[in-house]
Amino acid sequence: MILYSVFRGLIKAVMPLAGIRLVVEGREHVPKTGPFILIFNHQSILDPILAQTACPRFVYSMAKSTQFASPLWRWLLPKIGSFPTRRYQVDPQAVRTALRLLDEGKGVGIYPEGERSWDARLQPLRRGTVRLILKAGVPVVPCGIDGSFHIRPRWGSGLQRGPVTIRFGEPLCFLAQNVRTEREAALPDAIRKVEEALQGVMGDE
Amino acid sequence: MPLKDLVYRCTECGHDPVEGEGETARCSDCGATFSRRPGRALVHVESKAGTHVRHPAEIIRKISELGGPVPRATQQDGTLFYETAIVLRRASDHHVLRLGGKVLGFYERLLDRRPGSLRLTDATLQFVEGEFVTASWPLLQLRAVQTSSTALQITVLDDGMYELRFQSDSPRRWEALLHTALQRAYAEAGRPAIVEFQPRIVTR
Repeated sequence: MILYSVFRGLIKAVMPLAGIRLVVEGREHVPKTGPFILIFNHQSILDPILAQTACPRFVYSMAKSTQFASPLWRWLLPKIGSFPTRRYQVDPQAVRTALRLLDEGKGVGIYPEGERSWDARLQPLRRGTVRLILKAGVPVVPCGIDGSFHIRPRWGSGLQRGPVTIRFGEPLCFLAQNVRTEREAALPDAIRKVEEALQGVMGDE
Repeated sequence: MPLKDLVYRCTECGHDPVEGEGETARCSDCGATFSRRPGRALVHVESKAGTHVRHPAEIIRKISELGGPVPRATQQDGTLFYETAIVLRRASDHHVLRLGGKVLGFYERLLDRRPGSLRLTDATLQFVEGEFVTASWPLLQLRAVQTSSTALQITVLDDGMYELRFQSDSPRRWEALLHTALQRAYAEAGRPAIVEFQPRIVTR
């Protein structure tokens, strides 16, 4: 928690020096207490840093498991709220960890596209993420990241200066679906709603 | 990642591949140049037809309309063959990560940097070291395909995950190529079409 606060403070201090102007909208949509899932679109390698800096509450977030191979990252990442998910296979432990954190009343951040977009547009959502949302039955806050693509796109090698808008939208509510068949039946509609909510907060890219 | 990972094929004349480093790329056939426009993540294109700016989504659409990576990988008899230099690494068994005594998740290490070539045919993906094929994975045994930064990750039935890091080729090209090859292999085997390639291959 202390490292998380230090990390956020550092990022806030460094951003203006790097020419990044962060604009945050809709902070009031993040629940002040209790569990919630924060879903982001993913445009740039900078997104996790920018989104965590903008969110008014501590957010635990899924990160790809290969990042935890280095001892330094393995020590640091959990302390700033990251936990591993193996993206190349179904990872029940990542789901268990997310559900446990939500049970403890915490916020969990997920990038439902699974990887950075090549063109800033929303990619198809991973069905496993939406299954997790349906299993959890907690408020889902869509969070649009707009502008980080122009600062550092996936196919770019340098940082450019510019504004980034982080826009939190009104929470979506899904009933917890504990029966697998019911969850599967609810999946297509839930995917559509989550996609629409993300599109609604993403801007006009 | 270099721009040519996105613009791996010329959008102006269709030539494959384009060359370049960093945020510039050039077609050796028609001379078109591609560069990142300052201030915005848009692609500045200079070609015989003039100078214009393309959104990355337009680049992706144009390359797709040209057939993506498939024409270059298709032989005269219609079969697929494509080969490129990579560094292969295999994922270790998973390790447990704990925080405050609780299990947070599992992670793996990438072992044994092995330089060689990745070769795709209609039925198999092969890793070639020197003159020898040292690993051969039937396409129907692949369980997941995805890009991860500048690499491609594949999961093989009963064999775990491999990371294929390209020396100069585009991971985006390879992802598209493998998707095409897998769809064809599934169709030939009488299996339904694939609707999801990650975190595992799912059919309709």
